Amino acid sequence: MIQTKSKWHQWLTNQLGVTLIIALFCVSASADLSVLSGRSHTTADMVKTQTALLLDLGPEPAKALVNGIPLTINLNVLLVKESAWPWHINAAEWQYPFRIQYHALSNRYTLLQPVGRKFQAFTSLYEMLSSISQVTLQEQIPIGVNQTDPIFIQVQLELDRRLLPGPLKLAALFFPSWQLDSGWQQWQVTR
Amino acid sequence: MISRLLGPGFTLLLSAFLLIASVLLSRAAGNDELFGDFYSALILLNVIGISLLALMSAFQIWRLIGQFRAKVLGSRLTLRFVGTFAVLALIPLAVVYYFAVQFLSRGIDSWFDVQIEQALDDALLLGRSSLESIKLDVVDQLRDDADKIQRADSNFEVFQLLDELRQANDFEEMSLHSMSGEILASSSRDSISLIPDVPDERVIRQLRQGRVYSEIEPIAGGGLQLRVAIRIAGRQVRDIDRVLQVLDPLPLRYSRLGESVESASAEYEKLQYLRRPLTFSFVLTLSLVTLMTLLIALLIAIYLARRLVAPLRDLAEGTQAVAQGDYGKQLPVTSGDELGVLVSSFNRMTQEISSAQTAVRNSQFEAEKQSAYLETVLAHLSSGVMSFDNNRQLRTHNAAAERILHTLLGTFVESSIAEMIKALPAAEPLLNMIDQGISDDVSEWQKEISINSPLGQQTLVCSGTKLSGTETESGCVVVFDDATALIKAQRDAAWGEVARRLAHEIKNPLTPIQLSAERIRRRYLNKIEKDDREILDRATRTIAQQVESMKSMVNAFSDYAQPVISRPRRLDVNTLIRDITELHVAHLTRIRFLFDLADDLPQIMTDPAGIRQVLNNLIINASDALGDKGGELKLSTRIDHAKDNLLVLELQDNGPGFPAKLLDRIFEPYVTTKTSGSGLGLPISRRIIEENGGTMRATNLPKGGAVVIIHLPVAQSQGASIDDRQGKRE
Repeated sequence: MIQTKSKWHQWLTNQLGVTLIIALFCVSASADLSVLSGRSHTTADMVKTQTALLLDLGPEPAKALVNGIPLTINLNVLLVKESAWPWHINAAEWQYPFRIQYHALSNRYTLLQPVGRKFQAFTSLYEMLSSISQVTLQEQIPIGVNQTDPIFIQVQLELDRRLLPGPLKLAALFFPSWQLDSGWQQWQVTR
Repeated sequence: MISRLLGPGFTLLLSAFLLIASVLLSRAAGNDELFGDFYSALILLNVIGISLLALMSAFQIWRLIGQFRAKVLGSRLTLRFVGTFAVLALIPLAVVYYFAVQFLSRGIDSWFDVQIEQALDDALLLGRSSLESIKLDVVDQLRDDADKIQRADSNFEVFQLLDELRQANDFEEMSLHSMSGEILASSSRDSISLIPDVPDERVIRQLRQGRVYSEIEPIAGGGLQLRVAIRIAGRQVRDIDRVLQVLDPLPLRYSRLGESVESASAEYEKLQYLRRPLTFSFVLTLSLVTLMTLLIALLIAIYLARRLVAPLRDLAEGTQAVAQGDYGKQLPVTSGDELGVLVSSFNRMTQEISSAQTAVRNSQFEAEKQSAYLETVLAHLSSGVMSFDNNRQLRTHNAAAERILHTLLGTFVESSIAEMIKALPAAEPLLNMIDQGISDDVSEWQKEISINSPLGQQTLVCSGTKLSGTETESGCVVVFDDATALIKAQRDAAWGEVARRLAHEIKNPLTPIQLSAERIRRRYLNKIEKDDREILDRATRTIAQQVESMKSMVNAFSDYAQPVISRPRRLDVNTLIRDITELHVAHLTRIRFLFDLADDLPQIMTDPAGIRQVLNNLIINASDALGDKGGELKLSTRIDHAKDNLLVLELQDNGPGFPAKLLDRIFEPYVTTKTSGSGLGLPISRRIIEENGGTMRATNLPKGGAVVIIHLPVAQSQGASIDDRQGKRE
């Protein structure tokens, strides 16, 4: 009886240990999507934004990519109009999806740029991610935003988990290694 | 309210909703395109639904446990049913779940085969090798072309050569660039495309390192192209180095085959990578469905158990109600099965019991009515009635019995005759006679006995009847009447008749005797000799005296025989006593009168002349009894609240008392201790008292002396009405 109890205890300890290690691994895995900096200014009726990004998928998404899972990284941009109220008004919202994929036959990482639908192939993931570290965007200022309105830009970089294959969506729901999100960064739009 | 909200209807609705959600979830887990996008939402929905089910189950179980602890009827059985149903559902579900998980894991694992994986890897490698071979051929060709271009002397020659070489090799595009990427010359199969593809930094960097850049690149929209770049050194020092780049899509056949291998390999890799998430999602879906099924089964088990136990609980409550005497309990018949039959039988049984109980109640009511009627009759009987059981214990009695025996018999119910004799020594003759009557083997008996009551000797006429019946109903019933007054009245009537006859028979001859004696005396007294004269004188005188005496005696006797005429007035007895004694104190100096007269004595309605005569008689009697030596005569009055507020008047002397042998007959005519008395004083006094509604008795005191006790009624209202009537008459 005591032996059985100790076996159970040992089994439980092992399971807990493995779970803890996996959890620590998931948390400590160096995955990072960051919006490092950015600036925006208006020219005529256009708003031009230049932003510096840092993309590091981490081992698990990278492994999925190599195994043929296409990933989409969204660059979400909000044009926000300041108001006297405690909340602000979203004047416009744009999304720029960077679709990345691994091509096994050519051993290349391909990138479909959102701007101009430009298709590129890279020999390494790092090279591909580095290619989108500097992004320049230009969009028309929407109607309703006057020249004198104080506006600012909010930028967020995220892994689009909705476009993952079904079974992986569940893992993305539970495991932090799949929850890649830079959070929102914002800056004033200079006139 | 909560239990109504979380009732079976809601559970059914939630279960149906969850079942639909589970179907969608299982389809979404299979990467169905329609529901794939809602997978997370469906998971969340299912988790919320299952949590709700779990909460409902927990609430129901908590309620059940609460009812079990409160010992609510049916809760124990419900809990047992729920436990049994839960175990019955859990065991097959657990088995199915275990094998389903195993099947899923192994099923998904079986999709992947090492040989297929190897074949795909090999195919990919083969494809890469084929492409590498093509690439090397192009590189070799480009090296030759680069030499030719290097030898060209003019730009025009370069342009021309570039065109010729491209056409000769059937390249898509051939271009010449500076090392900084500027376009120097180009030739393209596509005549519309004016600007050639510029080598990027990676290409230039590699060329700067002295290597040839040659790569197979995927192109947008599918397909592969070969990009080869080679550095062309300047012929002279002042000449710049140039880059010769060739872009050539792979032949369609190669491209399709390559894409096919690439696609198959990628899909396989993808599936292999998704194996664990897929298993996880399937197991999670299965677990959620299993858990949901278990919870639904548990809730259904609870509802079914409640439904199943409800008639049994009702039955148990019904039997408890019947046990507590509620025979009108009817249970709802909710089903036609065996339980329904049982409930119907129970209802029939309670109906019959209720009917029987009603009949019993009616008969009991009738019996009680009869008993009450009998008690009323007994209570209004002037005869005393007592009944005894076989154990000689008093069972019933009536008010007349208490009145006759001057005691409260209620305290003696269920007391034996022996116990009653101890407590009521005065009634001993009666009780002994009853005891004897029960013992004797006779069904009826009748006797006349005398008992000593507090008011004197009583004559009772008793008749007893044995009761036959069960143990408790057998015994005897005794009916007795107080015949004292009747006997006395009969005796008085007899004496009255005797008196009238005596008066008629004796008084009539007395006058001739007296007249004859007087005539003899007048005629012969002076004519006869002196000696004879004295004799005659003495004889005639004696005759006259005796005749006179006999006349007095006959008159007194006539008085006694005459009915007493009472004239009641309001009378202060204390004042009357003082007035009468005042007259006697003067000449009865040898007697010391003592008084103990109650201050709060009320006036009573009585005949003052009669009472005065009684008191005079009693004082004279006491004086005669005390004789020449004298003594004490104490007169006292008081109210006896215990005996219907009777006024008690006592005359107590310290003389020799009544002779014991005459004590019982002292109120009879001609019973006297005196030599000169008529023997009618006390009987007349007693008649007067009785005519005024009172009683009179005499007894001796233990310390010596005699006491005469008179009880007179103090009836104010009656007295007032009599007074009023009297006043009106006057």
